[in-house]
Amino acid sequence: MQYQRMLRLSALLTSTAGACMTALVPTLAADFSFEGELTFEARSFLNAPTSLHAKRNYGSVSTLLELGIYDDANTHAFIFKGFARGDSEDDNRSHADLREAKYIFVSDNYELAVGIDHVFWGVTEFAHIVDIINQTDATESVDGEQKLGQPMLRSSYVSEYGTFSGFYMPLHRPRTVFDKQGRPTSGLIISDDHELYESNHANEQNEFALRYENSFDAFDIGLAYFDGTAREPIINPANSVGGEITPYYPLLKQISLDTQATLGPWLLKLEALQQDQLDEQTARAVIGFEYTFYGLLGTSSDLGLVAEYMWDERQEIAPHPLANDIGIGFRWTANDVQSTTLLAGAIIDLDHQSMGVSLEAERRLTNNLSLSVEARFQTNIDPADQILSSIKDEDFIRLQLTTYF
Amino acid sequence: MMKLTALTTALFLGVSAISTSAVALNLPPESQPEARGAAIAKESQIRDEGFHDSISEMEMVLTNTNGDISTRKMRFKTLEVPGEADGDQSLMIFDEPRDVAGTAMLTYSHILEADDQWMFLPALKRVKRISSVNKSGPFMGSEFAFEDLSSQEYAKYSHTWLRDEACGDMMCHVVERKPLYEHSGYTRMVSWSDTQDFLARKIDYYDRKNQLLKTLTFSDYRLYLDKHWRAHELYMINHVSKKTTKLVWTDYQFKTGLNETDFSKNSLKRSR
Repeated sequence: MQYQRMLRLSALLTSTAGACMTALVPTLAADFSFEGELTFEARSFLNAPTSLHAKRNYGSVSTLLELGIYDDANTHAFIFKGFARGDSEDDNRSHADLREAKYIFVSDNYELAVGIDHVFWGVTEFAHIVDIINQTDATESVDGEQKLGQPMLRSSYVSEYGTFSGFYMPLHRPRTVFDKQGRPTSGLIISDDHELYESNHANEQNEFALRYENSFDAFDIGLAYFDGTAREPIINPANSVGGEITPYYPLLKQISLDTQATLGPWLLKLEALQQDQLDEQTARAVIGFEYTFYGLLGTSSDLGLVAEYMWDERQEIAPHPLANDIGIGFRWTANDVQSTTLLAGAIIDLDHQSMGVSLEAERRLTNNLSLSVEARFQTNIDPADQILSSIKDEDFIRLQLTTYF
Repeated sequence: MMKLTALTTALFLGVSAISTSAVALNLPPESQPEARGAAIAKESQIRDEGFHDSISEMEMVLTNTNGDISTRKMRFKTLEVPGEADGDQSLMIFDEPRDVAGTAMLTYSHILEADDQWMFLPALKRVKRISSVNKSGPFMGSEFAFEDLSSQEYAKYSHTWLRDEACGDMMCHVVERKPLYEHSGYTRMVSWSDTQDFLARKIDYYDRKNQLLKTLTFSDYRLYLDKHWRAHELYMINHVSKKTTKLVWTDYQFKTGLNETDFSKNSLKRSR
């Protein structure tokens, strides 16, 4: 039902965009682009599943299709980006989503976008705390970097004093969750078709956001305000129906800052926010740096080092595991013809010393084919660390082969 | 004093200058190689001023020692920044290889200070300010370093005129230049530019140990708007690795109406 409502609203927004397009067709000496990719994925878990329904091995196929129509003057554009995945085991992970379906109008300093869109805010690598507009497509990746399309009206004004943007969002999208067959899992089964909202209007509410961005020499800054419903649900086993927990989405007001200083090979980064949720004021921050050794040991490869500290005022009771943690990462780029990249990262919990490790490798095979391998595992898990100890048997390896057409 | 220098230069250049160059140019004499080298470099820059903006497409062909070929395709938009304080602004958008298609890089180039650079990563919709220290690293696995492809304002180098000599059917000024900016991979370059239009014909690059590392040759020059010459083929050979990279430029357009807002961080998010 939720999904139908969403489709209805999305249809409304896209039909508005469509109407704009129809009006424009005569002026469009249309320039088309169509591109697509198809990815074959295998995931293998190192430990036998702790739940009855879960499996050791998962196979899946996903596709991303992108269509763009532009007028000659680049004033009007219609952009569509659709994603779909079919998973061998997990019914929830088999899903389709309109990542983008929008009309854009650009005139010198002004930009207007109507429809489903995707925007990113922030500067840090291990956590993206100020990035609030789009909901996470959590069945796609454990790093939370894959996002669902968000219906919105967005307008931006570029001036010599910086870029001002306003967002109106008529619909909240719940976070995707694995089905009972899915992994990695904490063992908790979360409903994917029922949600509880603090707002009286459930997911059909009016959300607003404002954003200001500017660059001053070595400094890039972003300031933002958000008034809507949280993207991060509260998972409380007390809200269970038929063995599934109903996620709860409270209202959220948030003010945030993200800034980076780029000083030679050093990138110094800060994301900070103050949020007002369930009558509580809380602060969160991520602070860190990135340093790159170019031309490592006389070769043409580079080695980047990233270190970040993640903090949440709520500490142990924060609804996420990154409340007092350090992230350390190495990125090795070969700068070869195949753009070979290796990424090693670890997040260490300073309260329990438990550690989550990820290793990723990427390499282009041909101009239309690329390969990536990812391994994620947990070590040194303290049984007192509730979030991490629930996923201690969920180490896995993922292989992806992507072909472009 | 000015008049005297001009007179001496005129005498030095003599008949050949009058016959080869339609524009009378008074280069400093050979007895002042630094001034003469700088004047040659400055002249080639001045002759290209006033293009305002340009759009072009480029194909890059990489060949290794086994003869294996890989290609890249990208588009460039450039905005001329008047005055000598800053270099041009540019936007580069990748089309191939497909795994990086849609990735775009915005550069505000400066003369001696580090450039300002932002990269747009389309999968994450993320604009990331990146370090521009990496001047000497290979660009997309090619034999071109980032500094070879960045804007080439004469004030980025110190110059010494070496000699004038024949280069193919033409006469060339041979000028040595040394990077004045930090983090260059070169001790010096030697450039050949023709005496008629002051266009770069060949550059030898010397590495940090002052060994000849690479040679770049420019060909297929075409004239736009009766003023702006562009080489449509650039061929770089690495004398150490024996690998080569060829750049083929197509679809040059000038004065297309691009302005500052097309080179903003905001426009980077919708670059295409």
